[in-house]
Amino acid sequence: MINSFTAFHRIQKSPYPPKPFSVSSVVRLILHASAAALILTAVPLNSVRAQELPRAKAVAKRVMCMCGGCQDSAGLCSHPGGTFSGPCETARGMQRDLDARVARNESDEAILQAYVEQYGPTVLVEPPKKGFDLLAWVMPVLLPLIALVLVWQVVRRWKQKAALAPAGGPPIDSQFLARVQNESGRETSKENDE
Amino acid sequence: MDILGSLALLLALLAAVYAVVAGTVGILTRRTLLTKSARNAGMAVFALVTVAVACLEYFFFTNDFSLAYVVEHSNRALPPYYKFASLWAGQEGSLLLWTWLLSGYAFFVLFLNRKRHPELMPYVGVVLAGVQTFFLTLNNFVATPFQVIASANSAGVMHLARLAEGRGLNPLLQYPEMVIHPPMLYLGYTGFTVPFAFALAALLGRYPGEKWIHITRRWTMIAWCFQSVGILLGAHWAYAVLGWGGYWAWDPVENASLLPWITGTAFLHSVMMQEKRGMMKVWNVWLVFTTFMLCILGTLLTRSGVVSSVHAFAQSSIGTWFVVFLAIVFVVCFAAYWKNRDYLRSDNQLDSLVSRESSFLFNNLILLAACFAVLWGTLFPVLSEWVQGSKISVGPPFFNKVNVPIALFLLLLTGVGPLLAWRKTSFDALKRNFAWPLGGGLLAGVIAFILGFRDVYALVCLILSVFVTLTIASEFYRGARVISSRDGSHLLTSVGALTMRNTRRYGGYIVHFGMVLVFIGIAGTPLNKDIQKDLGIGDTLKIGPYTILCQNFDQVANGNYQSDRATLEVFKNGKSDMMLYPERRFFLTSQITETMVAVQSSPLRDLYVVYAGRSPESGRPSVHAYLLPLVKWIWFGGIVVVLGTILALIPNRRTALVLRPVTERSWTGSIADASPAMGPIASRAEGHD
Repeated sequence: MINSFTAFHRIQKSPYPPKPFSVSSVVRLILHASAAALILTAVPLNSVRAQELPRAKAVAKRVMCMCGGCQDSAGLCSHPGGTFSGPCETARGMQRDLDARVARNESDEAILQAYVEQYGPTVLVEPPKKGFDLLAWVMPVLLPLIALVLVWQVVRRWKQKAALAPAGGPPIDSQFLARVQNESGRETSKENDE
Repeated sequence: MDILGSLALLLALLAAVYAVVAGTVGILTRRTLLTKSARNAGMAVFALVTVAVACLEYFFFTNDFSLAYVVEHSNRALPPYYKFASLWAGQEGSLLLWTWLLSGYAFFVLFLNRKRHPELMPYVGVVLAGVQTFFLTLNNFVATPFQVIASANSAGVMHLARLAEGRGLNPLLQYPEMVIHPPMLYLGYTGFTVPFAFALAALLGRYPGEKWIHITRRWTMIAWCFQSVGILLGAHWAYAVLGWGGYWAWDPVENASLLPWITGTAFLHSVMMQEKRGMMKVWNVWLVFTTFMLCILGTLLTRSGVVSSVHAFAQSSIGTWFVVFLAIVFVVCFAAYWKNRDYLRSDNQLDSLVSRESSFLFNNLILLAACFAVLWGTLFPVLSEWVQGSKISVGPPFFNKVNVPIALFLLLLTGVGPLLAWRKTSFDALKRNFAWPLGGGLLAGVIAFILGFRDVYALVCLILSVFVTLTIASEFYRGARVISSRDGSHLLTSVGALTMRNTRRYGGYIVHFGMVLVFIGIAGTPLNKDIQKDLGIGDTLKIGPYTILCQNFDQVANGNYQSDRATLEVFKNGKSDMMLYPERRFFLTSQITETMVAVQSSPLRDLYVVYAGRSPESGRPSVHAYLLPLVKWIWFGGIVVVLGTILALIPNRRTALVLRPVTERSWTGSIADASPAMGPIASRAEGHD
């Protein structure tokens, strides 16, 4: 009973802006409260990490902590320089919310979609794989592939050049050639003598 | 003293401008006296900037809080070594450090080459002075560190003021690495100016051949080594101070330091193509231009606030200046290239696809792919905002997904490349060289799998790491065996002799081995574990084989900070193993709290414990413990990289000429001719590889 009261109290203190009153919001509130109660009874009170559900932990690593100061995901926020070296208040709020959503059996994609609607696309840790943002993923693969084709072409051209190149290498000065022939002839004759 | 500092900076700017103008006129009119005078002016810049740096340090060490910069970044109780490091704690001072290191490089380049390369050096002097002019303009007019504090009296008249105390150094910077990390990184950034200056100079002056590459080879390696050390020290600082159990977060500023390092690495490899085969001249010139421009881009990213970064200490509107400078550099480089592109025509030929040449081509391709992937991810939020109007985040998972496969492919090439011969390698040679290392790698993979490695990337990384290590070892072994069989020396002695005969090649292998160690360290990441728990006195926390018992919480204080400290006893397999003292330091002047992590490091794993403070939920002290396998290998790998680079910088040992009596009779048959003669018995050192 105490736990469910605490959970209710926490939801009231949620940092997110309150939605307009409606029947569905009341139902959501009750669901929130009961889900949070369920989690809190399962979670030992000495744990500072609100999250215990594995799927909620995984989703928390896919969304940014929206405090604006730490550039971390909500799941990994350790907030250097903060009053507490662990998840900051914003990250803790997001972690609790994610736990509640997972407990309500919302799918990962639905949760992420809801977050994008609430905070904008910047809440996603990775760029979405659709529309213009798909380019973020495509280019690091596409450009090296294009470069590979180009390198392949260059290599082929270089190989052809090597095949066509004269076997003798650079032209040899006739005087130098004569001198070398003369000297090598002398050397050979000495060896023959011996 | 502030006037002396300002005056020195102003004179330095004048000297740099004079070096550019007089140097250019000297080149155009071929007046040797003028080019010499320009060179001396270029060297004088270093002395003048040194005076400015000394003046600023004087303010820090004498606790003279009459300068805005000193007030912002120091306080009386700050220990002396951090007072020294306060020089680069903010925008103005770090730019001054940049200029100082750059002018230091310029001084040594001009001084050491004062009697050499008379056709090339005037151009080099002009390029170096041009870059210095830009930075000195910033130091003098945009971000001057010698801004004094003024206040108005009751009559409204302004007068100079001196505060009693400063606001203190950013607590995140109060860590030993911070005294070394920024200068190292800046020595890397500024060091790449030297090969850039020589490349541009050679192009402008149509200086023949590969001379500029021979001259700058060591300078590039020095800059690359500093950049490597700077990056690794930054990673170690992030690991030891920030208390998040990681060392690399793909933060834009971290990425900015990685970009020129990657292209610099590509350059160090591709120059060998030009030295050995006269190939890739255009590529090499553009690679060094790109490296320099990425250094400037990195500075732009760090200081402009264009992209969100945790390194936000130095953001301002200064970015515009860097954009303009970057544009000027690009235009100058492109114009120089376009005008003199005939000079770069090279005779590119390739005998076989399976050759050292093609391995270098692929090495460059992969490195450039990695560079592009990092740059693209770093700048994509800006691009996306520009195109779509909404900002997106590009976090670490993106960079890991894109870069890990590229890095593994590069690791594979590190093993394959050096074993391929120049021109052509036969299939038999391939089989002979690779069978054992590949077998060893696969065996290591099986062992790692049994030990618990399940992540595919980590397994591939470990297999490749062992493969590369074995290929390196076989290279040393085969070379040493030849020497050993020739002169009968012990195999280990022969390894030493072999290494010293071709320091560049074998130093390079040691650098590769160092990188392998870094990769092994990174491969441990998927096995990371962590647990955060509220701990009262007598409570325990269990992680892996360790049990952490909370013994006490106490406070320690000095003039600079107050520290909350946890005393933790660590038991391993039930036996008391060690004591750890993680802290939270509250810095009095800045009113900021930072963690001081306690790490018990071993080759197998680090036990990394953070005292996180009082939990906002329970109000009890909270401890966050991490078990991080193999992290120590990264730092050890860094040390090996540095040692390998130092080895590669040492000149090859020259072939000894040993006096030996010639006992056999000469061909004339006369005994009188059998006098002692000199005969070289050692073979010439092998050529650079």
